[in-house]
Amino acid sequence: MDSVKRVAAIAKAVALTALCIGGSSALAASAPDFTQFGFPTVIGQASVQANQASTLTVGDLSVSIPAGAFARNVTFELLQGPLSAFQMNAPAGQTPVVDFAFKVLDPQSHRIIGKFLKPVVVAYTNPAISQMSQYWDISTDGAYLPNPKPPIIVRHTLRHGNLGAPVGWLITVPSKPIAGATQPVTGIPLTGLLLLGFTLATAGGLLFLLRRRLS
Amino acid sequence: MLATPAYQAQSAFGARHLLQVANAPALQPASPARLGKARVVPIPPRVTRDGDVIGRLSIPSIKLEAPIVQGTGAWALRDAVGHVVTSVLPSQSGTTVLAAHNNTFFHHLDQVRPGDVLLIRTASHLCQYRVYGIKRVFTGASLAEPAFSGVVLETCYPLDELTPTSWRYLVFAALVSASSDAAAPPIRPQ
Repeated sequence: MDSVKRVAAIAKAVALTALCIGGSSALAASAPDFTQFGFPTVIGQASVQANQASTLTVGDLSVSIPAGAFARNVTFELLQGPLSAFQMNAPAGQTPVVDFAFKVLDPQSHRIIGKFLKPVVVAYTNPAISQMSQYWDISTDGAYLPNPKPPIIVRHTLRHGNLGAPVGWLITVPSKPIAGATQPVTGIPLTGLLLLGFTLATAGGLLFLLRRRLS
Repeated sequence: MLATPAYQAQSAFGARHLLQVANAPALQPASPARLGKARVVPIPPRVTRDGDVIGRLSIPSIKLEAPIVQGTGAWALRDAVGHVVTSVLPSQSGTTVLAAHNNTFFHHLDQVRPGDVLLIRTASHLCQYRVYGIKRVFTGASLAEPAFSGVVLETCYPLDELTPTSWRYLVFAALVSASSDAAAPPIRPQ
């Protein structure tokens, strides 16, 4: 019995140690610096106290940071890149309307914090937003990945909570095509020119024959 | 084939003519300049007719200077770069689609690279664009309008094909800046 208790105590100690190490690693898990991966512009910044809620609003984007999202005071940056950088990779039938990423810095260690203790909620309000809008993860190589959690869309506002910042994000809406954009005939009308040449040559030949006959 | 050089010579002559029209100072409504069917008109689009010169396109990386006319019919594309009328006019918010022959103005379009600058001058604006993408699509493929202003250049593909083909070569550029530039100095045709 004593040996069982001893083994249990050792196992508990090992588990707690592993949890502390693993937990702190998870909490301090770093993320890429997305200013280097398609989101070079800091469009908003806030100093967030550990146990205080905070809201960062820039244009149509609003970021709600709940109290306790971070274990310590951090600097929260909202990043953005040019939409044109994401346009060519957009999924068929979808047009990106806004892109953003987070850069959460621990001012003491200067490390980027990649995981949050509570979801940081993004809200985007725009007349283009509808129930057909989609929320995408953007990897460091610009690839679109479907986000596993569907967004909440109410009228023209889309909301989504993020428990970390290992990726950037992008919201798309159904594409509007430009009618007849690839219809113009932009090869030289060679057939028409050849027909014209043939007609002129035939007319010239007939005229020549007629003149010979008359003379 | 003699027809292609003859067509290109015709095109170059017509383009030189239209570039002179495009270089004309911004017009007041009371004094339009006329050159045959072509005339420079200020925006808004309701006064723009097929064949009207609406601006000029410059692509420094391939040394291209070309007039832009309204419409993409055979006669328009013979002498100029044509504006696809279902797209917005240059300097307006949205995507402008410009088409030209692969054997004339856009013969070297495949040398344009992402990051290259395009300039479009109209009677009222100077617009600067930066190339961000290149694509080949089937004729008739849908072209989605991005959420930002820009221009798409389009021509037949392959670029050395003499007859119309089933493919289109597209160059996408995003608007970087647009400024009122009615007093810009004229650009000499090549």
